[in-house]
Amino acid sequence: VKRVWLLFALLLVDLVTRSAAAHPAPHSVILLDLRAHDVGAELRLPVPELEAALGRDLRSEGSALIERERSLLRAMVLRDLHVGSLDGAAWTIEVGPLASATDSGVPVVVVEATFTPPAAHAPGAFEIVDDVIGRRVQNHNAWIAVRSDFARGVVTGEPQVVGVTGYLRHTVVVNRTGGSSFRGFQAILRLGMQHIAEGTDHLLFLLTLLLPAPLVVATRRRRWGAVASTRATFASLLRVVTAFSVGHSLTLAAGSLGWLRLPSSPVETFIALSILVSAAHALVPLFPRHEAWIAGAFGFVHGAAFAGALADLHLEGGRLALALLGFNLGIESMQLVIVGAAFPWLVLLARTNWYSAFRTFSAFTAIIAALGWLGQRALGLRNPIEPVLTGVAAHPAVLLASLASLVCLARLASSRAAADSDQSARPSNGVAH
Amino acid sequence: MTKRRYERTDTAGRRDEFWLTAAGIAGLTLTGFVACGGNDSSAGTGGSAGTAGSVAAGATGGSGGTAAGTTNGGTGGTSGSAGAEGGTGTTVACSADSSTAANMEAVVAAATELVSKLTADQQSTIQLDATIDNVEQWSNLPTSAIARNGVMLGDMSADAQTAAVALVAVAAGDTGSTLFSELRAADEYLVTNGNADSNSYGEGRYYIAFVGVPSTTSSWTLQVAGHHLAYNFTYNGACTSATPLFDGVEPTTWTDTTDHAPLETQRAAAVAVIAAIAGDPTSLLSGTYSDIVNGPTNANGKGDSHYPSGLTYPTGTSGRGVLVGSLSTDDQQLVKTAIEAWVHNVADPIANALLAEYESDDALAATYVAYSGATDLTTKNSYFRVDGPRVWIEYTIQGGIVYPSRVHYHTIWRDKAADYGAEYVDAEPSTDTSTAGTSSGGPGSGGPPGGSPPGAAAGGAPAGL
Repeated sequence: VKRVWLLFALLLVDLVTRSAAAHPAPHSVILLDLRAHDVGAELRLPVPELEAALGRDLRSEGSALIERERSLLRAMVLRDLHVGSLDGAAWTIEVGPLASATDSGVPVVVVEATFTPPAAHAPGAFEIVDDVIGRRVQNHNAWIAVRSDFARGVVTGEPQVVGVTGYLRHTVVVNRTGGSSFRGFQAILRLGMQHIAEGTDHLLFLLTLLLPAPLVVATRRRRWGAVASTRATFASLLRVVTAFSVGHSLTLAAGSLGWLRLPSSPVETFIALSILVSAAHALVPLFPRHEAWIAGAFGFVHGAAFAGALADLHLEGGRLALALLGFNLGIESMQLVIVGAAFPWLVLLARTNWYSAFRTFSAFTAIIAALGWLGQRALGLRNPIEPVLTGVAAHPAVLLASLASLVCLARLASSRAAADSDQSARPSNGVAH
Repeated sequence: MTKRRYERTDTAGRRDEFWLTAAGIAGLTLTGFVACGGNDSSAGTGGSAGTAGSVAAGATGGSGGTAAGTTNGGTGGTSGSAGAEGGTGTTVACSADSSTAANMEAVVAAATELVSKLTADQQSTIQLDATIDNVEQWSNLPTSAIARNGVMLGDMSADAQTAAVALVAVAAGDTGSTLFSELRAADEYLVTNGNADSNSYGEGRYYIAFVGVPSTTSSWTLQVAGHHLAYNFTYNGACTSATPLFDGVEPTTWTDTTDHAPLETQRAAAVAVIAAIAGDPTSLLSGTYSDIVNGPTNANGKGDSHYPSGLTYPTGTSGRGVLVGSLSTDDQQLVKTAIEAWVHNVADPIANALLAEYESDDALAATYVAYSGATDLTTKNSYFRVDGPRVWIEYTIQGGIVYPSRVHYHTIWRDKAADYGAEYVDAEPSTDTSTAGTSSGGPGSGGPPGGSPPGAAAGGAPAGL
């Protein structure tokens, strides 16, 4: 899921930087994160235009270029980038780390910076005077784009270009006063819900783990047996879902607050593995009555992946805390909606003699999906299953209606079979036992 | 697989099953509603709070008061004349010249002839509504990067292609139609010799479009556009017009059965002017020009979306180059030759009407010529410019794209008052952002007074390829 987000994020940057390809005069981009007390900025300066500005070849690329020209590039930004409030009060600019990247085939220098308003000046309204390349290169354009603005509910998505500098116009006004923390909270809540609705792997883990919830282990161990009582079933459901939530809430918080940084690749692999384990458990009871512990343990891992999505939003302080709450509430509510919609049908199906086959089929489906993700995430193989899963998951109503129809059919068949066995004296009407 | 069947247990009573079914159906209904009926809300969540498609041109002209936004000239009320406010505050007027009528009628006839050769689908594709968004849809980028209006020559029947070429001949005149065929040949050479992608380049990838219905009475624009060419000839507009006109070329020269150098007339004329003025240090512009400054923006898949309010023309009297009025008669003639090298890419009646405006003594006295980079315009980042009360010509030398070790040319001719026949001077291009989030043009913005719709003005991206 993190990977999807990363791709998404890259795609967004690409949309802003697109048309740079095959373009001898590519534009700069300044991405802004409007925060509570200051503005985070990411300058993406195309190397060919830097060369035109400097009047010389930079002769090296990537990190070597950064190493070599770091002080020059910092000095250019500090000298030629100006930020001020609309009443003219100057802001301070701090230049952070420099990196190299490529936007649509054009090498760029990425400069992180922070714009801080003077006391008693709001951070939402300011003007940027960008002369960094334009000081020399007359035709140079810089796109100024808002990447995130929590108070206006912009937390993710395509950066909004609010202005473009060009020939003889180097000033762009950003005026985004108004808004509220609540709007940011709402946006994050939706983001959390969306994250689960689109997070096929998280859902598959949870639903697979719930497959045996309506059953008890047979007296002979190593096999799922009879149907549990409704009360026991829902108690089991409650334990599993709560444990999963507690688990992922802890790591989500720890990850977002920076206390815990797990590399995303093993986390993703581990999530695939968690599906495999819960599918195996759905086939034969590996850890009966301890599902909650497993859910909790794997919840830790899933939470680490959620934290990655939240970390991409460049939030801090009180807004981060608010975002954490909103994101988690979004995740929990969406999870509850999905489990709430699917689980009753599962329980009903468990009371028919089709459940064994259904459980086996679902478990194997989950195993195949998990293997696809494992291969992709651990070994970098192409995953032929993901598009199928994404396609199927895109139609939850159809999926749920199929499950409901299956339940109806199964109950019909079961009652017919029961009637048959009641009247076994009668000649068979074709239903095999 | 199991010999043993699960027995139906009595622990699950009928009441349990009733509630389970009820819950299941409720869930099903809810999901069905969300999935099928709730598209609006899902768009809201999916798009993350209204940011969909919002890398849109934002407004914000400069705050430096430099944006020479063309404003509201006479609202067309005064017998077909329009004006544009120059940066100095003087209103540059333009008008419709009746001597162009015969050519206009010939163009309409040729356009009608072309339409008769097209398929039904093409007849509908070639015709666009007269909106600023449509008329600005042209670019310097390959056709794969920015879509062009109308019907591609490569998709036309042989008869229709002949009619299209004939239409261009009537509209662009000898010089302009030769340029058209030479630039098509250059694009084809990029494919055959330079191994460029034939989905992006090639002689067939040039388009004809009508923005507004071809008519002898009402305004419409003939667009002839492809990778390195954009003719925007507007007929029956408020002002006689042939601009914006973009031409460029890569390779700059090549040889097959004969030698080709499509932009040589323009280049040689510019070099001759530079040779005449370079002795005067004020002829050298400060800074570097890696591309034209008032070309298409190419933002959001659109082309010329700077127009009208985001274009920037210099103002004042310093830093613009040498005044033509200060030159000798011979050198002034060199400047006229340079202007004509661009203006003669439209049929003579229109070219002559415009030249009468651009080359009048008054106009030349207020026209600047300047350069940057190499005086012979051979090396990358060299630049030549004519900056008159109305005429605006830029010529840049850039690095090669298909032939990276060589250079290639971009040029533009604009008219500060009469672009697109001055039919759209008050219009602002729409953007594909519908969010209220774009804050643009706050105090200090150089956008048009009175406020443009949020995110609508100027915007866009850089001058292009």
